[in-house]
Amino acid sequence: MLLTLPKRMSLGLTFALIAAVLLPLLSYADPSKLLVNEPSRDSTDKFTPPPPQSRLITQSQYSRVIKDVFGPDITITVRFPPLPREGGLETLATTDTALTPAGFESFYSAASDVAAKVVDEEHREFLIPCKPRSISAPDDKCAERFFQSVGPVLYRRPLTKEEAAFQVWAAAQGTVATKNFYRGLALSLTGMLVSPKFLMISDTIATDRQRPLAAKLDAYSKASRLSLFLWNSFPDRALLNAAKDGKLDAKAGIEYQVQRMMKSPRMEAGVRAFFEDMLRLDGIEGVSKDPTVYPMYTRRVAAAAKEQVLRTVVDLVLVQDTDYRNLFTTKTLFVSPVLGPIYNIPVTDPAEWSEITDTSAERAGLLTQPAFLAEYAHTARSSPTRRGRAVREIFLCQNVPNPPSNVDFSALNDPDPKLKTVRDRLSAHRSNPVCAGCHRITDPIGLALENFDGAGRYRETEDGAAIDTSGNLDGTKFQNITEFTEAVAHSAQLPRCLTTRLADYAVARNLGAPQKPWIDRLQQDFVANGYRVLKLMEDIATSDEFYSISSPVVDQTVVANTGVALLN
Amino acid sequence: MKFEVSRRRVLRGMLSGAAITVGLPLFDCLLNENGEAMASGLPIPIRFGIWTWGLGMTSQVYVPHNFGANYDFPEEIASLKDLAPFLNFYSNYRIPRDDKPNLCHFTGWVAIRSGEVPTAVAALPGSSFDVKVAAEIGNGTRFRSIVATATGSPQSSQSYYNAKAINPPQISETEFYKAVFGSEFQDPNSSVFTPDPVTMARKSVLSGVVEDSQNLSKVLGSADRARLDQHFTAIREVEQRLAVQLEKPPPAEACQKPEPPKADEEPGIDVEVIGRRHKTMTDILVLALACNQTRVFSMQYSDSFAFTSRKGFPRNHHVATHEEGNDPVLGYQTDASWFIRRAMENWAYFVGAMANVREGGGTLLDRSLVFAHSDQALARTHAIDGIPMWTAGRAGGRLKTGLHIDGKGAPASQLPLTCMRALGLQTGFFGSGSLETDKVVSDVLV
Repeated sequence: MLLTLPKRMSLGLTFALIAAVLLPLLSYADPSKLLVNEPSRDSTDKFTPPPPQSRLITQSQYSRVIKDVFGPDITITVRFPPLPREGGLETLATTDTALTPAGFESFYSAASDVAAKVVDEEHREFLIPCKPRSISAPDDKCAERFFQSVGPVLYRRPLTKEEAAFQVWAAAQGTVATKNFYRGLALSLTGMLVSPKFLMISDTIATDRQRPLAAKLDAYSKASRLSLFLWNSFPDRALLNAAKDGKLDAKAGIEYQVQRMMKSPRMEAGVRAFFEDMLRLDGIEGVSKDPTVYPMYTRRVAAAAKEQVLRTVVDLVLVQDTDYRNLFTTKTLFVSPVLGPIYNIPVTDPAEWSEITDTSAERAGLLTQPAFLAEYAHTARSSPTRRGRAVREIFLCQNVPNPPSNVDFSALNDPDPKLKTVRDRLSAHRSNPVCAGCHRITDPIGLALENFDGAGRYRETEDGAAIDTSGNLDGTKFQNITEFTEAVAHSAQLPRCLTTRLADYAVARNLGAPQKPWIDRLQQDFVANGYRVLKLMEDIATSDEFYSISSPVVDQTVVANTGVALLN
Repeated sequence: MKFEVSRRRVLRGMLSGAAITVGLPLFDCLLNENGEAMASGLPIPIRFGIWTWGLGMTSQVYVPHNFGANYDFPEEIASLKDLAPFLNFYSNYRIPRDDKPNLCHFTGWVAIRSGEVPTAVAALPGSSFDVKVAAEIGNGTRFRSIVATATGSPQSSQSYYNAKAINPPQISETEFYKAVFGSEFQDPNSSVFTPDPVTMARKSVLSGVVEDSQNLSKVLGSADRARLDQHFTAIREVEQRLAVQLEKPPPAEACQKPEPPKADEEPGIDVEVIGRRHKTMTDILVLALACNQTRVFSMQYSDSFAFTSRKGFPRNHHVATHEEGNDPVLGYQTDASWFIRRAMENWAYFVGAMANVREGGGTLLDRSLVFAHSDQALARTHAIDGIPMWTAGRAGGRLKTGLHIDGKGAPASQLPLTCMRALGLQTGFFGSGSLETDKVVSDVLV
């Protein structure tokens, strides 16, 4: 049975609910009718831009920004409040999540730690552009130089005079209290790092007194949108300067910056961030196994399994710039000594990670890596249902309904102990009409992966019986893992799903029917360009639609008096 | 900025001259005239918390057969028997859904916490009532409330302001200890108190951050303005915490700073790991209450869909509730029941830990009210009528204990309302739709 019920489900909520209650009863004869391809973006010919929005910085972005601004050795360990995944992505939840006091404490703690490290003796020499006249007294000039240096990068635009004055004042307050200039500077920097100006990334509208209703992102908001998408970080100084000089107002200027950014080493962080979000890798490190069944599966294995996936992605998507579908069929394997017991291979290379070519027919691509196999399994056994559901939801953007609450589970009493394999046991479930609908769309996929146990180790038998991995994926038949992964790679839903996820991620919003023409065009080009993810990222980043916003409702009185658009 | 210019000068002058007034924080919720006082003569505050576990119960071996006083403790709750004088058990309360769906492992706890039946998974309605309680009685302490979980998962929280503002839980024993008893902890029984000028500077910087950011609201849409306001509220909460630290804390005779945990448990939801994590977190939480660091808490032993596992058993708790057959002799799912028994042992540990702290001639539990509930009655069928609920403690004399209350089909929202009334909140009614009630469980209120 379908038993994995995350507390806060996020996908197609209302629709899934209706589907969960009604469709299993109506669709037994045709289980494919149970699938919900999300999101439903029915036809519209004209692209309509979405309204402006604010988003909360993610933990991943926070860490990245701190590293980019202050250096890679300024790290944080504090956890930020979890964001409930929406539309398959955690990033989408950033646009409507609010901070609770307890959540703010996490940011405050992180900010205090970062600020303390920035001013410590090890870092102040190269992070603070001046030395105070006295270490025990305020030095407004030196403090101002520091904040004029880091402030624009943290706020993603130049500081106003008032903002700079506030930071200098705060540094002086702290210096008086601590009798130490650097600790005072740290207190002020802490304030900057918990300010909504830093933590909330808001679309700012370029105001035009002549045409107050013509909505347009200002250049600094364009720069932020671009850098968060490509680098998972804030704009660097070159991008801020381009914004300042008006170069992002022209298509050529944007294209130049996109080319520059895509050649930057920071691009790897951007690629990793998207796939970590889309593949839901945030959950893998919390996966634990029954040590009596899987003694080799440890915390270190879980962390290494996550890194293995990301190394595979970076190699294929960024380094080789190859076909996205290769992620599902690749025979290139990145292994570390920690993963050796899972693969049952000796990893003797003293380097932490080795790249090898798997010549066996046992594994191919991401779906046969332990991160996926172990996360979508139970603590002491595999789970074809969880694996099948995950393939449909993550890679094909299809929602599998939850089981209705009124299922009579008494029909599912312990099956015959003579049934050796999970395929046999699940067939007992499928004899129940209410359960059969959903299980028929998840289990054939999951059963194809039954050659892997709950920790991701390869096996050919279960309880002494040979494992049968044959099945079909939406009409495409397969006999073994090679054919199965090929079937997934060539699924008609695959390019649409990736395009949708990437576009949603880029603008941090669940794009709907009004934006369908843009998605259609991106998907068409993605396929025509050989399924190259990098090219798709470039297409998104250079699209006019990427920077388009609709006119908010504007309070005309405020505009007339102040030139500022007050939105409702 | 006009306001701050003068204020900053004042603060700078105060810091320079160390002209700091030391005062005592006022409690917002004091004991009534029948309450006992500490040796210092100060009244003892009332504390409130919620303790939750997932996947309900096996009613035939859980629900006591007798009502009223001296009720029995069937085998699934046998571990609680010695604590009977401190406990009330509530059975036969319903969650009328008004044609809304029964969302598995969601509708039950959400309806109890908020008094509203959700329409879709993740669509949390209203706010959880512990947040309302914290707003009333949580002032004057470092933490308005503490949310913790033994699951180790950052997603394990049933405490929320609204659907998009969920209180993140403490999930690490060492981080929890550091947050409460780390460098910022001030021993309330210390004879020495020196206000830290750095704390004052931090507070004034945060105050300045709010003012410096006010202009943002002019360029945001209404929804984002609301989020900005919540951001400001969160900053002010930290300011309040810092303000508390600038005043000499009142003595707390039961306060003892605990030893820090050596390390976190390995991640995972094995029942033994969860048990050890729960014990360590309970010990920290109980002393946080005794040391007046907070007055409101929410502790989650297991998730509503509890995947709690057991070494050597292929089925975790959740899977067992759905896949295990009834024992032909006993007539219930023995593996599923095994997990519930472990949950009840942990509930017993929690209650016992609070009862073991002596203060003001009584115990910490005497001055507390802890409400415990699950998400289902029988998890196998996702039943939400008859969800097991408990209270522990006497709320400073406002609640009778030692009773098994028959709800006779009344809405479960009566329990949160009863809790709020017992805590002195002037709450006229609670819940919406058929869950709306202005009735309390009068049999337990003094």
